[in-house]
Amino acid sequence: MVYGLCFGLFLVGLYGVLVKRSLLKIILGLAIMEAAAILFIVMLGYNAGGGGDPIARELALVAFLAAGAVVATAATLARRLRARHGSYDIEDLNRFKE
Amino acid sequence: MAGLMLVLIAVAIAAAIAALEVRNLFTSFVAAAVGGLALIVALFVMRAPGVAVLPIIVAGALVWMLLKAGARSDLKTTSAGRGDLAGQVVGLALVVILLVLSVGVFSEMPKLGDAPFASIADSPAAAYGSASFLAVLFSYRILDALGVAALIVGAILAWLAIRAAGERS
Repeated sequence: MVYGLCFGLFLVGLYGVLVKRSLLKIILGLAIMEAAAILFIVMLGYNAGGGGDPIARELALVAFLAAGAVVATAATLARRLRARHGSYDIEDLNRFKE
Repeated sequence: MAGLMLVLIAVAIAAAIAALEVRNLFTSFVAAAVGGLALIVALFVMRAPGVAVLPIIVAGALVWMLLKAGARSDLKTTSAGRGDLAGQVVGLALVVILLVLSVGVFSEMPKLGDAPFASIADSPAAAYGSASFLAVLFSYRILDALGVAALIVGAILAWLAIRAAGERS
């Protein structure tokens, strides 16, 4: 049941990435997916290790580092795009490809 | 235990849906911060408080931006004045919650027998990751100098607390 909810959290993030048009919402969706995956890793380690598996925790720590870097970089890129083109909407940004 | 985890993940899901669906970006930030807090508590409950250190720093950055940017026009608040006040009130409330959580996490560490404290406290990866995160946010002017300074002081205090907890255990 708890694993299912974790998967549900991941699906909510996936929905944000696939459906939303705002870059900020897409980045938020990405962060939600990462958080769900990390939570799942820690949960697996907790259940398998009888109170916490150190390997799972270290893996989660590294995953958090990567997730933080990805979100920070994506947020800065989004901000620069907005400063240049005046919008977070990916439909508006698509126009600049033409 | 399982019931508490169910509740926490349900809160995180609700906050995630709210963060994605609410049109007002300010409310969206608040929902994201609430979801982050649920995640931190969940990690704490699963005896992985060491892992919760980085989310606390990230949530701290989010809260700082909330405090500073609550009234900015690009957050589409209904009124600049109200947005400013609401941003600061909500931001301050989240700061208090984060502080309480941080104290709880660090004070409970020795009892919970977390993974090697020293390896986390001395881990260059955690320091490098946090520093990079703050540097990127600062260099693109998402965080101001005061926010970076506040978060660095917070991270150093967290590091000292983890180290002290490791020595006690």
